[in-house]
Amino acid sequence: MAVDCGSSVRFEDTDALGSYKGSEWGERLFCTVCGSSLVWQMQDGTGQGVSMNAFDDPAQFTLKNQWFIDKKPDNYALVNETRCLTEAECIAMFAPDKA
Amino acid sequence: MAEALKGTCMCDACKFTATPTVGGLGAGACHCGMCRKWSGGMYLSVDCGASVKFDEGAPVGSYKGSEWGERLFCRECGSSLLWQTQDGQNQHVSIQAFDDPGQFEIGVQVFIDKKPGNYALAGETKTMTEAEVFAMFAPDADPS
Repeated sequence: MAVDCGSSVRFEDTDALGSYKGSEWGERLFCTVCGSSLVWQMQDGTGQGVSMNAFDDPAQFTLKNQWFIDKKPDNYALVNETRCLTEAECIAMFAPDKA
Repeated sequence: MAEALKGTCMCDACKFTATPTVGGLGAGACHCGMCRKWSGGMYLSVDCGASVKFDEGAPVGSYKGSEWGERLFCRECGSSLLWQTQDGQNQHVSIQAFDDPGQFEIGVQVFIDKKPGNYALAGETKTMTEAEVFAMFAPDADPS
């Protein structure tokens, strides 16, 4: 669960910051000490989706979108009413040359 | 006899086998602050007892977030893998590490009183508060 923070993320200290490029365009930042998921971003550092739970008050954010909804296993679902985008719709939106 | 399932992290560096405990706690969702911060969302996991075996050389990271708990994750990609008690028992493996996460029925939500109000799971499940979890599993521990 993440909130769009553009390219505004600033780390105080990056000694423990891990990075994994899971696709041609995406990158995941995490803590190498405890494994906490922190940010998904485009590899140019934009489009930073920050884990809602990294903030002191995760409840302040309203969930508006569910991405890759067609990839979600059937054994769980959110009650929240959100826009839902399939994998194809997500790729068309963010990486149209990959579509 | 239950079947050993294959699991892996996002980057495939941490491969393991694990056997969900027949008659065990099953699969559930944890909404506690630590699991949410660690996994990035609610932590969906299945009770695999003490059955997890990692392939040799797997870059498994470990973090002891409390006096009794330990969290294992991949040091290469950050994937959350399992929560266990520090004696290596009570291994609650992330359902997303398995090939078919949808095979597990989410039967319980724990630390329901710690869940932020801006999301909720659909469907009826048993729920347990923090106090109820401690009363069941660590009656002598101080949850504060």
